[in-house]
Amino acid sequence: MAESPVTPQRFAQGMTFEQYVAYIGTPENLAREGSTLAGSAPRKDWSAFMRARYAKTRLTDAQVASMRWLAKQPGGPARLLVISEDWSSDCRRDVPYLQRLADAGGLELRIFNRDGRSLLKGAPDPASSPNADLMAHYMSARDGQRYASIPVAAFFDRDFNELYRYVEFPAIYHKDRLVAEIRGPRAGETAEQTKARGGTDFFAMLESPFFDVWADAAIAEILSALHERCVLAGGRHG
Amino acid sequence: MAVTAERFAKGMTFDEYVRYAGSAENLAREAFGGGYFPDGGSMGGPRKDNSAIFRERYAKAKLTDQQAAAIKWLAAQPGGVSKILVISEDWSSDCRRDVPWLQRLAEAGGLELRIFNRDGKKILGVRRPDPAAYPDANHDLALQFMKKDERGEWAAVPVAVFFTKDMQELHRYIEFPAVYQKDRVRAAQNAARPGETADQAKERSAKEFAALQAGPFFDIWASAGIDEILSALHRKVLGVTHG
Repeated sequence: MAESPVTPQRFAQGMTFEQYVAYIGTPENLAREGSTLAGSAPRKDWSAFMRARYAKTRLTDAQVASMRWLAKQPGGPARLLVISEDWSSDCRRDVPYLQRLADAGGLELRIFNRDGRSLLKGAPDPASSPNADLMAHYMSARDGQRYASIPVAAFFDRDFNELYRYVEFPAIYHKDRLVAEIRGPRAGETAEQTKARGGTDFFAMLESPFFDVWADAAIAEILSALHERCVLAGGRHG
Repeated sequence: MAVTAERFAKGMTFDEYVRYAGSAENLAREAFGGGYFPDGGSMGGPRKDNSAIFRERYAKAKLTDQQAAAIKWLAAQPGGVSKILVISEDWSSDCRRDVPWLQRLAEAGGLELRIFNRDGKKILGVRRPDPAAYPDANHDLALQFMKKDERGEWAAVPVAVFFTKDMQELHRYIEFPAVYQKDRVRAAQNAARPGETADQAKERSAKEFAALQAGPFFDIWASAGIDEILSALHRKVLGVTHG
């Protein structure tokens, strides 16, 4: 694997959650190219949504206790690097929960935009995005292709050794199959109708309780992976 | 062979099961003794009274508001989920973890839940359940809901099978959620540390596993099991095919 671009100095350049939410509503952010299901689109102001979602997000007692336990282990998680874009439903779902996780474990969390002024197409390019170095390091691989999937949540110990990375959505969401079904044609629909109905159905799903079931599943996936790493390290070092 | 409404009705409710777990009849049954025969069959041992653990875990178990809302929505759909068949043995930590949460799920969705022992008086001493060799067990059910992995087929517990009102199967959940990498975690606990004798390693590992069951991660996995079930039932309702 390429050498990590995540140094203490680089990490410190990211935004805190509060800074990020404030930034989302700024003219600077709103002037950047956004995205919807259909592709490029003007950016909406999601700052109130993110603020409200953080306010109502509650980790369970077991999640809080697990995160605290992990943070206390030798070489345990101490920092959390997040790559996010507010037009992504996966980022809006997970980032407020990640901040709650950081709150619970006393982790430092820093957020980086994926893109520059325009939407990323192809490989991350430092000429068009100031955070291309980070995105290039955290590309996901699927079926032999590389994707700049977000959110990325990379967990580090105090010394910036990476412990685990979570990318895009929890495994149980099976988002690609689910969204293909939702946006697929129904009998008797025109292509236009399919597109309109598919979009409506997808956004309705984001308002359903399943959105938070997946947020909960993402936290479980992260805590389980960090726990496993910790137990396996215990086995190796006595 | 499908599970009939009559067969389903023979199972225990959660209340009945917890009482039964502490009964002389149950305690006289062979439990898992901690070892396996070469074919994967279990060695037997004495059974402990686990009824208090089930009662405590049920009292503590609490679905999130969204989990409760999700199961209500799933139960309200045409052809939605209506019944849960559970195969359980109280000596299994996976059953003690999940069964109280499955009961909470059933309550939230207004589902009927019925619990069946896997075994009779004798533990399953061979790899494959055998209704002829163990006539007092529920091996007819165990055979229908085997866990399949790269090692073959296993009568793992718990099994939670979700049915419509008309006993059409919608989903089956078996043993533990995917995020709980149990085999790797247990292997790491079981591995002898430098300077440990085999007996010391065994004793330490048993202590670590007991601590894990009493600690917060056990509830992370219980909740992850519920999330996995809800997400699978949601896909089923939306008509997403496997693949």
